[in-house]
Amino acid sequence: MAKLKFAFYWAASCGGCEIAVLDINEKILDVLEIAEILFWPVALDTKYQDVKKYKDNHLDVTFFNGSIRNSEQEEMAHLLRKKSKILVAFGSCANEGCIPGLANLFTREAILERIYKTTDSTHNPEGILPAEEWEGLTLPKFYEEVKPLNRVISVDYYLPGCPPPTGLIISAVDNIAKGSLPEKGTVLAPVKALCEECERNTEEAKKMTDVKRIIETAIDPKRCFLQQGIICMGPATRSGCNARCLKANWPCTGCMGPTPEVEDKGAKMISAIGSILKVDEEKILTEEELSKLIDKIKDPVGTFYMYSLPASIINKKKGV
Amino acid sequence: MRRITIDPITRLEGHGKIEIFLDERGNVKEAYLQTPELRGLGVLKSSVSEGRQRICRS
Repeated sequence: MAKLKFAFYWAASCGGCEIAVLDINEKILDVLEIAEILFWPVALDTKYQDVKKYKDNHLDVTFFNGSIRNSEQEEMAHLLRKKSKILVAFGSCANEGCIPGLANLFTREAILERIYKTTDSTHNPEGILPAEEWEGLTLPKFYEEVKPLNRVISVDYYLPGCPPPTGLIISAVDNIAKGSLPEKGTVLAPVKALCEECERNTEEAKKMTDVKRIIETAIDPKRCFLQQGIICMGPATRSGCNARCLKANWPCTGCMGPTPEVEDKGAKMISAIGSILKVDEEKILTEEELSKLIDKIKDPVGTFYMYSLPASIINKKKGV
Repeated sequence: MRRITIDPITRLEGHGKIEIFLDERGNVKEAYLQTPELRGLGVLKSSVSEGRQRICRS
């Protein structure tokens, strides 16, 4: 049987997704039994021009990581879509925008101003900003906002996670090899919420009596984070990560994306916190006391939308 | 004037493009390394980073 043709590409990402591919360890040899990798900038010297010369649908599967921040990334998304039979949004950035998406809290101008002019380590007395055209050279257009991949092209499958857990990568590749992928549009991860696979004690009724940052308390590794006052995104986040953060005594920050019935993960989580925070005392607390308690949630957007801001209803800074 | 474009540069972590311009005798006249990617994370100052213990997982 002819080998399958794979491609891996990165847009606005950190490189962690490439490492996740290597984290499948010796399983990579099995991948190479069934597939050849034609395009993978971190590992192979294939140029964009070579990809442009492929016939349409030449690639069987492209694993595309990173969100869309500039015009080059969008062009590459369109190019790879055209050249691929199956395209997988690989990792949180391609799925929901992820950490780079938090820059949607700022305008394009504010980002360029900060990065090229006012950071402590910047020396740019003439205030020069990158130009899209200069002396015959071009740079991609830096967009007003970060977009998840499915805002610019159609995506066949979603592999969530920051980065995707190795077990899910292996099972996706196995299903590709066997030709047993589910219907298009499927998220290749379990549908249950992380809370359902958490091994911490869930016998106690879920109540939050305070809000604490992780550095403000010693965390009992056996108790639910929420019961200890630490915000854990487990109730609104998909499982499939093998609870890797929880096992390291770190609360879930939500990288696996929302469970299928949730439209907006941050809103869902805010609603969950609203129903368990000081629930026994809500009738006796004054507005002022309540508001002081809520103020203890530092950085609410970064907490509830750490990975999902560009895919959320609030999406980006408005009115400017 | 001849122009050599290397796009992308590969087998390293990150995005890059090299443009080389040669003169009539084939010698390098100008060479440019371009970084086409900017994620814009540098803007996430205290308002967002307060309370964060970690911003990049890799």
